[in-house]
Amino acid sequence: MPVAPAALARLSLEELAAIDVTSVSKQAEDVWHTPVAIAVITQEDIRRSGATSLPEVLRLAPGVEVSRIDAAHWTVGIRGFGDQFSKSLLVLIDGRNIYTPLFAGTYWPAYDTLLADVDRIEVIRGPGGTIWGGNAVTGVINIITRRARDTRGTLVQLSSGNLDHMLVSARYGGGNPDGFSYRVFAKGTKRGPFFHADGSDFDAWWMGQGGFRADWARGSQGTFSLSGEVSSGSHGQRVQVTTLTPPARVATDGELDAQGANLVALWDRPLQGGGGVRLQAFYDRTVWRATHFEETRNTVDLDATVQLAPIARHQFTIGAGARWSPGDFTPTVPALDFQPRSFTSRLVSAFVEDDIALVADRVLLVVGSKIEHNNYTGVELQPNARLLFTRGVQTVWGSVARAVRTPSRIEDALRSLTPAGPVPGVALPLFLEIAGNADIDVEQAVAFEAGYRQLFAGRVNVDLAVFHTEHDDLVSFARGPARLDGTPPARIIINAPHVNAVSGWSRGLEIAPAWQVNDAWRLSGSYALRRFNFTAAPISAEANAVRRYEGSSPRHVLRAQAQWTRGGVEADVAYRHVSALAFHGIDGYHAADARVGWRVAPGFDLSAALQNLFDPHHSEFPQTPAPVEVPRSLLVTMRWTLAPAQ
Amino acid sequence: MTRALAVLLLSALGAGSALPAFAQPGTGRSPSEYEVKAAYLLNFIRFTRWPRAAQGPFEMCLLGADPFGPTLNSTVEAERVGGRPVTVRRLSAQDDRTSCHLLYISPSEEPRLLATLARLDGSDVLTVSDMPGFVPRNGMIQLVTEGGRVRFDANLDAAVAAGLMLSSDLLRVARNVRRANQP
Repeated sequence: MPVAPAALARLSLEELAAIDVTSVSKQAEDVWHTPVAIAVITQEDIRRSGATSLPEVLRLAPGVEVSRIDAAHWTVGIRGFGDQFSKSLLVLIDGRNIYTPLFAGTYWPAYDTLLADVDRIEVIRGPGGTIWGGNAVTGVINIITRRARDTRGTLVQLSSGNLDHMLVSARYGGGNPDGFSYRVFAKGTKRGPFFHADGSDFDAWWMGQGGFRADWARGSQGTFSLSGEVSSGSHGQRVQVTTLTPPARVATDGELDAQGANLVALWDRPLQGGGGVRLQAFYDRTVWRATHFEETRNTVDLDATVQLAPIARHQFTIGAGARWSPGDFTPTVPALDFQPRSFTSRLVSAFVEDDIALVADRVLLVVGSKIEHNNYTGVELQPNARLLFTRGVQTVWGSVARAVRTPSRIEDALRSLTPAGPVPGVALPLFLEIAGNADIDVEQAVAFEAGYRQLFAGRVNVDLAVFHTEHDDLVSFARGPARLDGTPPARIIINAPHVNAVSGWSRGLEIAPAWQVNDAWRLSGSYALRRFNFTAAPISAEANAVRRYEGSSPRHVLRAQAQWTRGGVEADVAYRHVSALAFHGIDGYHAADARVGWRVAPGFDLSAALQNLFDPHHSEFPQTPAPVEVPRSLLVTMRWTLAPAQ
Repeated sequence: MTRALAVLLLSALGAGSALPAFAQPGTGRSPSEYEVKAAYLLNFIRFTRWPRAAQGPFEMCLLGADPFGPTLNSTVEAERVGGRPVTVRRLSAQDDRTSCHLLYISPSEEPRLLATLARLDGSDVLTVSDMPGFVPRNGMIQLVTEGGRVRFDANLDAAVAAGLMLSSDLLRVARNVRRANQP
């Protein structure tokens, strides 16, 4: 809401708190005093990045590795373990866990949000299992949208370009002075395909989404919130489908239709004497229809957290939760199935954490553990201990934490045939049966971390973190018995069950400096270094298991950006270098983005963002038969905002 | 796809033709962070009660490097709070500050913060800063910029210890209120 400076003095505190400012300082300052490797992507960072999807926004955080597979698919990893499904990291949108137990991970193309109403994205590197539970092994991504009272007014945003053909967002927010606020929003996207050397264009996609949020602030009774969304979209995908008759394997271009709906209720109540109670319940439904399968999943999740400070120097956080997630799988090709096809993933958990101020405002000790029961592997403990020293503008912290990744249905119950090629002397075609294993155990990690933050002269801040993580029981494939399948045409099937067979370590560092040069210029950047060392136990029959774990993520990611702001004009340039993905045979690359924004009139902004300036197109991930390459792109955005009537 | 772009550019030009009607160069921007912070400082005076006699102007003092420039004076000096004017005084290191109603401590004062706060012991000065960790180190109100908006944390314990009464309207809007010593 643009307001003349002289008028600001007459605004109430509530009105001041709702004003968007051209910010000089950087991020939520609580982060400063957290004994965790954490970065916060702010709304301003998002807007000025020119990014139009959640995975692209995540590139802004240090230590996050993002690669585009094609226009609709990404791999996202934190501290390695880059994977299309981001299986070792946990993603939450306003507290709603979007990790699917079908294939372990986050299916990025099915999720979007109105980026202009995102308040911030907290990216935690390293284990978060003590608070968030299973699958928060290499990191946690917490996407937090604005409270309804901060989105009163109208927003309309239109973008168009050579890659994202049309992005349309609209939001209206209102309320009354008694603490009730609401917003409704809708978003539609129509996006084009990437560059294909083989001339195909399978990866175009579209999505429509609508939703609401209502908040009732009721003083000492706390705040009650209800939000919901529905979405529907269809994105192209290239799938390697196995056929039982020659040619045995066919690259099939098709569509995945994804429908989603969710409802989240939250009650947040402060307690007398500090602390509070937070109750959250959500329902989430996804229906996915792909070339090779269909799945319908309904998830119900309940969570309760209480914060108490009953004794001086101690603050306890106690939580409990339960999740119930039945899924129905239907195969649509002969060589892919689950046994059983319908299965309910269940989870109950509890945690307790104590923040102990050993020396008030100077030394903080955090100890706690999660105890969780899942119906794949039983009871899992995920403890951590963290120590933080603060002295003036310096912070030093260290931690030890254990986290686990829970098996998914793929590792538990999959039946998938892959052609194993002709074998000399064997007349029949040979297939590998990648199979679930009911005895599969969790993947474990114990992470040792340390970090340092300092603010220099109020203008330069540096955030450094180092880690060494011991990994155990990572999943690979064993070689099981062979059998003859006599159904014509006859074939030999070699069973290849998932097994826990790879162990080793990952280590590395992230450094993220930022310099507010003056009120116009801000320079910032980050560098992340990774090293991996894994070994496979003899039971693993996967020839590339070690290379797969060591070489699926870049060793180096460097990012630098400059932002300039003056009198309603913004200019941004960003550069990044991502080193090779050795396992995938993808070379390192350099990319640069630029953006200019102009406040044409109060409430009307125009911007143009140019991405991948250096190359007409470059490859970030392999695809069969030819890689799909990220093209240079231009996006023009118009944004209207109208403040609510006072 | 180039056609979609052309359509968009045309509609942008269309918006441009209506532009002179509401283009106001110079005011067509979000307020800067420190313009909003200056308005907050004025509001903090509105919502605080001091134990000292209610007479004369409210004195708003600023210690350390001045991030506001002319904004603070222009925001504050035209306003009255409870019929009383508000004056702005920029302090040097040795100036007495116990007569200030509100003392804004610049982030540049961070290395000397504990000494600065210790010198205010026993006086009824409302301390405000936007340096990180101000409230944990016993400052009273810390301005925090998050998500492109300015909020604040309040330290009720420290204010009460200085004899100040922060109104419930102020505490309600605070992002966090520190009152660890409450029963």
